[in-house]
Amino acid sequence: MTLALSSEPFARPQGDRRGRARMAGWVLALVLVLTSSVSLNVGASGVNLLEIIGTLARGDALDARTRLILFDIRLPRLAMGILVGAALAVSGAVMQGLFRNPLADPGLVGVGAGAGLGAITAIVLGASLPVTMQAGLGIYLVPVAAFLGGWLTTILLYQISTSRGRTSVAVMLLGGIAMGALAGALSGILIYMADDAQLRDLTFWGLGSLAGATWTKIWIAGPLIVLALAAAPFLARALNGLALGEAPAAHLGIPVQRMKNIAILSVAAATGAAVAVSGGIGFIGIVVPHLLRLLIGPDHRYLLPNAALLGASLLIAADMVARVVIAPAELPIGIVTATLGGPFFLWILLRNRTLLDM
Amino acid sequence: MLTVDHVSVWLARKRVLEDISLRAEAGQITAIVGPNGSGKTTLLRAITQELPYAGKIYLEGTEIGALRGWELAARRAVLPQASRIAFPFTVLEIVRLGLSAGATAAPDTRALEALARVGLSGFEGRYYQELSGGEQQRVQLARVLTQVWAPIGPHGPCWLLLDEPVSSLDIGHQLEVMELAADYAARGGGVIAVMHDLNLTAMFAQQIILLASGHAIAQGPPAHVLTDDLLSRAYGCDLQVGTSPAPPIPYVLPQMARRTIQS
Ligand SMILES: Nc1ncnc2c1ncn2[C@@H]1O[C@H](COP(=O)(O)OP(=O)(O)O)[C@@H](O)[C@H]1O
Ligand SMILES: [Mg+2]
Repeated sequence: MTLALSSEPFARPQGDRRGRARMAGWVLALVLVLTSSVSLNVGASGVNLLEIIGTLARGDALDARTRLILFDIRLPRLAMGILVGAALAVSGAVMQGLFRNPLADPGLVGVGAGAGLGAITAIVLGASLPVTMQAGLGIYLVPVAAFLGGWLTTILLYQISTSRGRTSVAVMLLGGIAMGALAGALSGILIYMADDAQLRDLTFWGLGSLAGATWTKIWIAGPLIVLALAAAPFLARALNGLALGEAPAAHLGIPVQRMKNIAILSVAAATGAAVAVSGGIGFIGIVVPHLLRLLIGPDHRYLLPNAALLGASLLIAADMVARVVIAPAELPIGIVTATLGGPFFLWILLRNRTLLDM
Repeated sequence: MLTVDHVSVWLARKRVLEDISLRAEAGQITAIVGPNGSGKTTLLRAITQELPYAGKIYLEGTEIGALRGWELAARRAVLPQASRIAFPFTVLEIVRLGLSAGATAAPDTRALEALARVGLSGFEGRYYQELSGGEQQRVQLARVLTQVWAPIGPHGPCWLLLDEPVSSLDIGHQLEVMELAADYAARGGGVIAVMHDLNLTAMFAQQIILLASGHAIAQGPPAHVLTDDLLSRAYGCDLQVGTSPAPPIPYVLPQMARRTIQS
């Protein structure tokens, strides 16, 4: 019966943006498929997707070099781009819904600052760890430290802003600023102690990059991100209700405190994991939800999945630019997202002034 | 029946409500009146479980705190005194938020029906933030209506809990909204409304509780509560209550008030 209803061509009333939102979902899914294919095709080596498909179609095996480039370099990088882009965009949308503020981003719950401090600590002090530990942790030292730093900061901030079973969003916002400043100061001390090579590592990490993508990293960060993204659909109705305020949301029967818990923990997990494997990539978390709100409205049932799709596409696209502009060298991806995203965002803002004041 | 049983509320270590008892019957409009700061909103917020309180509140015999959020949401809807909304939602999207909380699956057209009930047909495509204060209040009322659309639900009467539902409306819409509430009650639902306007209260309410500084100084039908003596005491100025010719309804005109300073 529901099928019959939904396929019935009935006129949608004005103000109903669900049809448009669903359509946007299909378009964005297509865009993601296209950007992904192009991204597999682009790189420093001349490996070409069409040729590969041709080879496979003829039933021939791929040569070792092509296989290596495709399966061990480009595919993990693509997978990581999709995961990280989706994680950042969805986390941004969830935070904005929770704080009822379009300028909120995961940084507000201390993940960014904490992860940064963790990473910097690992880069600067990692060298003074016992050699056996260094060998054991190897390239995972920085991501693991970043994740722990982000997660611990969030839990601490969460404890501070929760009393008698109720989390105050306002306290969390202000506490996040204070903890961010503190983490920034500690990072500053460490940066002061760093040598030149470490400084270059720090800068590169701070601006973000997908260059270090490996399947191992994806197996570590991926499940966390997927788990957190899977929680998002359950948050959608609650975030819609929270737009009315906390008390009206509760009157709608929404378990506000439980939803806050899930939102904060899943954002901390998703961003923590994303930042850990790719460094600090700014902008996606604010721009993507904002663009989508202008396009399909703020209904989180559609905003969250669409944000995942658009965030993934945008990050992959930015990564392609980062790979080709100064090839064979690479730009940090944060530079690309900021130089392309900044002016574009400003243009959008100038065109939609009236909507913004709402 | 919604029963408030010896309820007291402390806010910031101050006793804001002291030992309030109230029986609101389904099928009637129960009005909470009193001067600014007398505790009207606080009483409503205790009933809606927003504030901790001492004492007991029962909904159809069940202690209200024992009901889960979604169970309560299916049996009562709450109109807050003021509502600011984050993000540019359209009017239709706001009203539909109430739909998703209701007890039973509702047809898609319910939101439009509710907007028509509050006199806002044709507003569904507008942005909520672009409306006037009075229009916003009626959009919220439409949302609240869709949540408990049927006055009698599977668990008995449903309740509308309204905090100053008509305070920012013009006289035409004040009457429209009060008639809507009266109709809801007439069809078996319960209505508890915080009211600012004594005349509308006299016209529409069957039960009135009069608060002053956190105490209930009178309770009962309009003719009992709206008297010179009680109102003058509650509002701190010398008020005279008139009575309209048949049907006899009490009214209060500011023109007929003698300021205490002058007397
Ligand atoms: N959150 C609060 N903390 C402390 N006092 C409060 C709070 N909210 C209301 N009050 C006080 O409680 C009293 C009753 O407030 P309220 O119920 O809002 O009055 P009204 O009858 O105008 O709706 C007022 O004196 C007000 O100052
Ligand atoms: Mg009030």
